[in-house]
Amino acid sequence: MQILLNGLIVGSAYALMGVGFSLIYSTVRYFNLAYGVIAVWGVYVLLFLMERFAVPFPIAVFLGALVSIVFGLGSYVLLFRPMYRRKSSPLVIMVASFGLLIILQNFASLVWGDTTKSVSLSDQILKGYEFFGMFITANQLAIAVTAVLMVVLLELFLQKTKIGMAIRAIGDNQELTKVLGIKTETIILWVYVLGSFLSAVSASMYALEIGVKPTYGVFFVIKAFIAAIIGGLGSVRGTLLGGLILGIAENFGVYVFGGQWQDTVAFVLLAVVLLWKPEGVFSKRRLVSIE
Amino acid sequence: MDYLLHISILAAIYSLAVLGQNYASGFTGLVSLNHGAFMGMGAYGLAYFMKTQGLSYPVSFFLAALITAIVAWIVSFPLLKLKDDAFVLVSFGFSFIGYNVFLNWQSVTNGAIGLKGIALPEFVKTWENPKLGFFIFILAVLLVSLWSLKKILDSSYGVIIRATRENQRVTQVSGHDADGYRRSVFVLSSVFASFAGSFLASHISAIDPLLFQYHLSVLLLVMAILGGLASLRGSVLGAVLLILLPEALRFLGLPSSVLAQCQQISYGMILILLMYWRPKGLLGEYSI
Repeated sequence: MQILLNGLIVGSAYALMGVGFSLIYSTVRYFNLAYGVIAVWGVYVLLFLMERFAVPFPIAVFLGALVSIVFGLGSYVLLFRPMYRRKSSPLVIMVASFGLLIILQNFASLVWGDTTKSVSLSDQILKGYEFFGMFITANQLAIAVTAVLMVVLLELFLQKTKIGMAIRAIGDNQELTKVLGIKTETIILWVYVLGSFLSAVSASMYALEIGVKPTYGVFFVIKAFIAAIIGGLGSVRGTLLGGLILGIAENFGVYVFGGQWQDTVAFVLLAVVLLWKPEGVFSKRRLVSIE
Repeated sequence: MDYLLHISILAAIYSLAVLGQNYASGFTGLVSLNHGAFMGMGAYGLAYFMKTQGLSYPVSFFLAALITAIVAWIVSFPLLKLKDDAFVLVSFGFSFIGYNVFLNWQSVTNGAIGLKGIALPEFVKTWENPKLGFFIFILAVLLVSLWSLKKILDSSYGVIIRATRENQRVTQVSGHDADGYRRSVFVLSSVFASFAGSFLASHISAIDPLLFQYHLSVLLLVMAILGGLASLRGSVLGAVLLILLPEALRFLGLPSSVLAQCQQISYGMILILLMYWRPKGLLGEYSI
């Protein structure tokens, strides 16, 4: 049971990360691999603010996320949008985004150093809680609460606001949305804002568990796309479940095989899902190209 | 002089690996990001059979290649079901799994410490300068590989594998087992990577898992794209250019503390610039 709980908590961070990734994919139809490293920059800014100016954690998360949003919008406006307009294929844009990932990751390593830095809620060590024979740390509780809060807000945003509805409409059918007179360009900018924000917040939460390091840019985006593909790309609820499944599978994998095989478990899960149900476990539309 | 020789050997080794990468990615359209892991298998295979099992150089060399080929054959079954982005991402996943195996299969790979004291082949040791002999030997292997790949690509087999890249369905309708062809290409390209990995291991004589992380797979793909996809000359050009790049950075006087990062950043920039202006690379004939 404890493994299940740990899996759910890590999974909820993956789920948030995956949703942002999935939303971006569903509107622009290419994989943006720079997604994770943008979040890493947000976490570093958060850490810098907390250490230098003693900004409280929740405010620092938002300020860090603002930096991620600037990076995300910048990458879209300066790189991906021009490429998209030149009719570059999705694969070409993905490889370019991989180049951006390498650049931003190594800049992070130059600016902030290569060592793992730990992130904590406050200076004091907070006590954990015990209930029903399971143990949960204050950090884990913060992750779980934030994830639930973000998901509720996101659902409200996507269901109730005009921008949210337009985002879903583009995900369903881009041409038809254009025909209806919705400015897809503006909506895509909004998706980048939303996606970068989600990735930065989830990365900040996850950093409470594992700290932050430049190479986590790759790590985060891998978790995000695995969650998104398991859940079915473009499906918000599917991706949420996908993230939870990934978190639980990894924790059970670690329990059975040992911690060093965590990534291997994740990738085997990805390969199995792509072969067995390439459209994702919870989605009917097939977005990943496959024979 | 030794320095020049060192660079030339590296360039020749990487050219060999990039030939394999390009054979799969350029000519057949299998944009794989796991050839670094295949190089690792060649390197570890050679080191294991020579050091731990005490076999001779040629036997270890070919056993390593055989094992790499078998692994590539197994891996190709899930991989070839996927296309484009999905293929790239899952093959990227395999490079992570490869790294984890090198890091954790303690009894064969000696974990994070790696294996040391990997010798050069016996027949170059009689040379006055063994490294020069080794370089000439690798150069000979490279030329033979170039020649045989050219023969393969000009044959009817070569026409069919390029056809599977352009349109798999039409190839199948014309009565060719497209997946079988693609699988054979993938396996052969992994053998090239294994050869290069074995050579690399005996050149630098000590290997550890960090050498064969996903960065290596990325580097091979960047070399193949830069030189030109579906171009044999391009493979060699890409490898030579990107081997010279870090040396050039060093001559610019960058401190060694930031050298690795600057090197990676320039790879990233090359990748973006190529994807933006010329996705087929310098001498390429095909765009991913």
